[in-house]
Amino acid sequence: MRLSCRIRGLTILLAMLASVGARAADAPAPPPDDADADTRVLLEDVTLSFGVDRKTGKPYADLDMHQRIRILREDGDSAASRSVSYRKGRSDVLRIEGSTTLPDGRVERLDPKDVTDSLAIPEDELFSDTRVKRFTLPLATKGAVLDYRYVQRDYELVGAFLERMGNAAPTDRVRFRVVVPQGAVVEHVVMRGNDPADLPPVESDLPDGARDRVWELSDVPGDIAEPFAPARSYSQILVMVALKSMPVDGRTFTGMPDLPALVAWVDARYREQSRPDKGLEAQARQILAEAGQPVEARDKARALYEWVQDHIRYVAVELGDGGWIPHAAGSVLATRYGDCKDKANLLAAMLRVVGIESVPVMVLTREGPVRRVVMPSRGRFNHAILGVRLGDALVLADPTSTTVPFGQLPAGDQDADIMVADPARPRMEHTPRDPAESSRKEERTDLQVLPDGSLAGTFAIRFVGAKAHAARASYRVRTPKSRKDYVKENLELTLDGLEIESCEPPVGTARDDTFELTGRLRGLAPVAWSGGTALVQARSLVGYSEASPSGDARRAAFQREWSSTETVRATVHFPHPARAVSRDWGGTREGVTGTYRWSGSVVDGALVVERSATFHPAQVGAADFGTVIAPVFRAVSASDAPLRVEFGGEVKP
Amino acid sequence: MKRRRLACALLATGVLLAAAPARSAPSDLVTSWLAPSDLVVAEPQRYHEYGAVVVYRERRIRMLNEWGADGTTMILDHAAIAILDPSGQGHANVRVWYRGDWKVRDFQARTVAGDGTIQEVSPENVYDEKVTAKAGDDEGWSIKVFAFPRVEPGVVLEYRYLLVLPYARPQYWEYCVDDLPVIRYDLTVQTTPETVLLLKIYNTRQKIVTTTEDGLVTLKWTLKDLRPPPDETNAPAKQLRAPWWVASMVQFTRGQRVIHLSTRWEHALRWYFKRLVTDAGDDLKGYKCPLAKVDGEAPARAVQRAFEWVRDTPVFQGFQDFSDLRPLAKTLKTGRAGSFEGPRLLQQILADLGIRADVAFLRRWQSGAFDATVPATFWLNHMLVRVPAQAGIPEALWLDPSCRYCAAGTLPFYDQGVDAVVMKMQGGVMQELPDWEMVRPAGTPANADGFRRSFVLDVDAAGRTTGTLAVEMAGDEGEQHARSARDEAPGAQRRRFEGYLAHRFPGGKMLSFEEDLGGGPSRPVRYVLRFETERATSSAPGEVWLPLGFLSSGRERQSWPDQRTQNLVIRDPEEFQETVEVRGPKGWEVRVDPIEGRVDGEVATAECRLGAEDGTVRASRSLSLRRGSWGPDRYGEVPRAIALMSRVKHAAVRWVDPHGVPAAASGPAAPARPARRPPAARR
Repeated sequence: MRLSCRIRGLTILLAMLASVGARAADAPAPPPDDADADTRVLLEDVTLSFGVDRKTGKPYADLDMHQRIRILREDGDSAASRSVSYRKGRSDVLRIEGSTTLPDGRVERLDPKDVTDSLAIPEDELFSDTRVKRFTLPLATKGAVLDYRYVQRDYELVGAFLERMGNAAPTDRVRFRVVVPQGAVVEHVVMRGNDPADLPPVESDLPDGARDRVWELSDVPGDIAEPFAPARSYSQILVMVALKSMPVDGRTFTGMPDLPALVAWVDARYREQSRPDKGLEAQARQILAEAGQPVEARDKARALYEWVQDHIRYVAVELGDGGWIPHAAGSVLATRYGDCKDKANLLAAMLRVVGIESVPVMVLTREGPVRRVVMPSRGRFNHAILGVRLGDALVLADPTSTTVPFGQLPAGDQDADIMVADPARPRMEHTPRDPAESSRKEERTDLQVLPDGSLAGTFAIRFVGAKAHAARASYRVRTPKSRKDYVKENLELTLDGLEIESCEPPVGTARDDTFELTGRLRGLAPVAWSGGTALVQARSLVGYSEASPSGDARRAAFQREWSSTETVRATVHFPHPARAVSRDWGGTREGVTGTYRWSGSVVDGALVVERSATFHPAQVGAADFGTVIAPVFRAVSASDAPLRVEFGGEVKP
Repeated sequence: MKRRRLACALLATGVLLAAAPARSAPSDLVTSWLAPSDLVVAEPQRYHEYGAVVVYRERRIRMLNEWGADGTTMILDHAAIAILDPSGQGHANVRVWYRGDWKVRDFQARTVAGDGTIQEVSPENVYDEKVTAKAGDDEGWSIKVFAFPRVEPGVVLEYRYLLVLPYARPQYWEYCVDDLPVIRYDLTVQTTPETVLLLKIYNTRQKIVTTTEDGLVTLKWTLKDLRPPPDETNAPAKQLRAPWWVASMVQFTRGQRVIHLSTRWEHALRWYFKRLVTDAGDDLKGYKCPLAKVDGEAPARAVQRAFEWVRDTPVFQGFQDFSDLRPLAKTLKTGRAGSFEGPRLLQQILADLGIRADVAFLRRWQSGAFDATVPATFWLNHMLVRVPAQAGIPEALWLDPSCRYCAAGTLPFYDQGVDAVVMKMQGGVMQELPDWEMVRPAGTPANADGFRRSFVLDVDAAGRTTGTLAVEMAGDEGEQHARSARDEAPGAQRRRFEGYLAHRFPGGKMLSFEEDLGGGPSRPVRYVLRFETERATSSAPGEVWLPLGFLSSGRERQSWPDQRTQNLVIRDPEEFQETVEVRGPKGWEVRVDPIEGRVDGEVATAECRLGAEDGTVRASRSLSLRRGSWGPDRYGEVPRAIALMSRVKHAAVRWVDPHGVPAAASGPAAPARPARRPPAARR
């Protein structure tokens, strides 16, 4: 499940292309940092131009993409498989051509018959009119140079065009050229991550009165694939271009609207699709009747919100304007299914029936780092929720979630840019974030070492706050048969031969702020014996959340994206009462992105191992990694050492 | 392995040598909605763990060959699914696939609520689109997509539709149960009396009932209360465990002529033969042999040269089927070859070099069932080349160029122990059917996975460790490792070992690193590294500990069937051997609990030892997994073997200074235990 609205047209295409792997070095040897690149992009040359279709009189944008890629290693052959997506009736791919130049100079061309055109329904949608043209350049062997070019025509000029000035592979040269027609107004913004970047275009006049704007970069590094490395969107420059207006046959064509116009457009579409009919009115009143006829507006809103959460199944159908305009509220009520905007719009219609006003709110959700919306347009948001007016307050409500209580937001909607589609006061806002302490995972295990060298006992995993909502939502969609696997995946404890013997059905309602799983488990004890001492691989009992530093990590930079707290405690009972544990196991480390604590002790003859971690979103550059982040990693590594438990006599299980 | 249960009906219902008497066409295939009483799940708690249950599934197939030149196939699909839990709602989104030249008729779907309220899926909510459009391909797949309305636990989703194919599809097969249990499954297969139809049903004892309905020979079969086979990582293919059936049109008469579709294998292979031999023009168009003929080259050498070129040059595209076969020129032009294209190319190159070679088709071992008594190409999911004995080649030779770690004449595990249909690549001018023979491929088995690792360690009185680790990978494992290592960045393996040392030995630091990625099947991959640690793994004044957790090899967690495991298959045999030798501080007493154990079974053999002698600690672990497939009586061997391996991994060695005072031990020091083996057996 998740998110309905989709970044559309060329924006999705450009984002996709920017993420496609490609790399290489022409003649010179690649610089040391690119030693593990499979390919190197020798050239990426993109031209965006605008024109008018002579037959229909409609304006369009042509995106001419040309890439040249050298394959450095055998694994790089995957760069030969390319794809270009488009939406039927809204964009098209006019031309695809390509060739491979082999190391011996021979050139093999792409056969146009080998270009396939397939329906591309994203996994989280039921149906969509997005299609994709796929092709594979021939003879993509080590040392070969792949060269391809296509032109994509977009008939919807209401969004921004995005060009990421780099690739997953190191790139020798990337050039983005925009041809601005005479009299047209084209705006642009250049960003690096969430900040403006200083890369002005080189502008020049063309003979027909048009103007060229060109951005160009050389030697752009590629991705660094290591845990916690910031995404490329934080290191590479992004150029956003929007056509604001253009003269067409003596008239002025308006392209991407400004914020008030965009909000007015969204508001009008939502209003049109949320006109209550008699069935909807009756349903809204019945919901309130079943909720005991609440008097307060907030209680009414909550009842309707919960009903939509519980009874409207997430099903996304995105045809034509379906990516932007919700289906009519009455039809969503009739079928009992819809996507995020359908659910938000149905809720809006029901609220209106009971006299509560609301406004659509567009969200750029967080699926990792915070992403700021610059140049808001249709394609910059990927989710729709609702702002419910309760007195002077606008309460944000996301009925797509199935477990989040009214008045709270799921983690993905937090710390995110939103567009409040209130025609009276169009605006961009940023949602708040729950503190780490209120989004928790607490794990307790109580285990007995058995004579055969195994462990058996009970577990309890308790999620609190946003973690509870997310965990309950994931658990609900697992079949009862696979819920033991869910427990296994969520336990921090890792034992050889771990088996979940039983798991009690979780208690509580669908929207509780806590979610607890309990049951029994068994596995091999991570314990080595010698005389009156046992060595316990304590970290197997309490786990750890960090990727441990390994030899292949270079730690160019570090980024933590979410805030949360984890506390894990394992109590281990041995056949004989334990007397003491070694004092060299345990400690606390604090860094800008979190705090890590671990300890072992003997309580009432049992070994108690504890580990806790608190994480805060933060980003740390390469220069600070060694002093700020590395000590925490070293602490995690130190907790991998075994914990010595003394019994004061020769004992064995 | 579990005994396969089989029901079978072969109907030769009047193979007419004269023209069939005129008959009226049978009535249309229709089905009605189920009665409300049929939609009730009597004991929902029995199925609750699946989230949903198929209350009813009906399949009716009509294989007709008498109307029109190519006949007709009608496939009626009717199903009712009860949603029991929110997790079952995923079954409410339906996709029906069909080809461009098929028709989807009488499509209807509805949601029946617990109170009997019905809501139908309206036509505007059914989306229909061509999935793949390729230049010149009008028969690509299309898809019909819809979501059931008003879905919640307690409803029943029911849908039905008829697929009409404009030709008599000669074979059809289906599993009776997928990921949901099925309360009732009805199968009806109908054909004309002039047709010989074979219906075979596997993994069940249920009988087929034969009747005549509407002038058609009708085979009916009902199964009740089917459970999905357990979802197990090491289980044999579903075709070997779950009930399924195949219907095959063997032959029919048209006028006075008997048309053989799959009476024998030459009929089943007819289209392959046409494509590759009698009508190979398109296949050979633009093709030019990539290898030059060498004057005086011995045939065996030519075979080897051609095999290695095909194995190593085109990029292997994975396992495919015959329908993916592209013309040879295309294979060469794109530099990519699938598991059918490689052998096809090799056979042609050998022919061009003057070597007689045939192609052979088989079902890869354990990838599904293969019933040679039902001649049909749908069984065949792999292709080999067989070079018959001829001048310069004294014995027939089997070649599998899809196996990237195999030499000429070597067979990977999936080619062993299965029968192959060899199709002779010679055909006369008028010959329509190929010559064939059923042969079990013979050749040197590809080397088993072999992994050897040895540690030699010295621990000083401060607990610092210096040591040497030597790793050898042989056979398939070595070949595959070397292949991926060569594709990786220089230094990637070294960095990986550095990571292992840092993780498993506190402050572990590499002093030297040697890498040899081997030289083909005969020379193993070898790594030797020397290292030291900055501090002890665990120590205190007067004592030093060395836990053996560094022996973690990944094998302790893999292949771990639990107590619910029903079936087990080991596809790739595996040999793992490991030795450890540790010397402690001079003059200190070593204390280690000896371990000695062996699991010796049909599937797995494991042997582990840990002990000390002359102040040196020695440990060894070995695990041998054999290729095979076993039922519940054998699965326990693997967890037992791996548990034994884990015992050594979880052990620890302790050295105590006899003149010092162990700091943390507050009780009396435990005496060192002698190894249990008698001295004579030590070396």
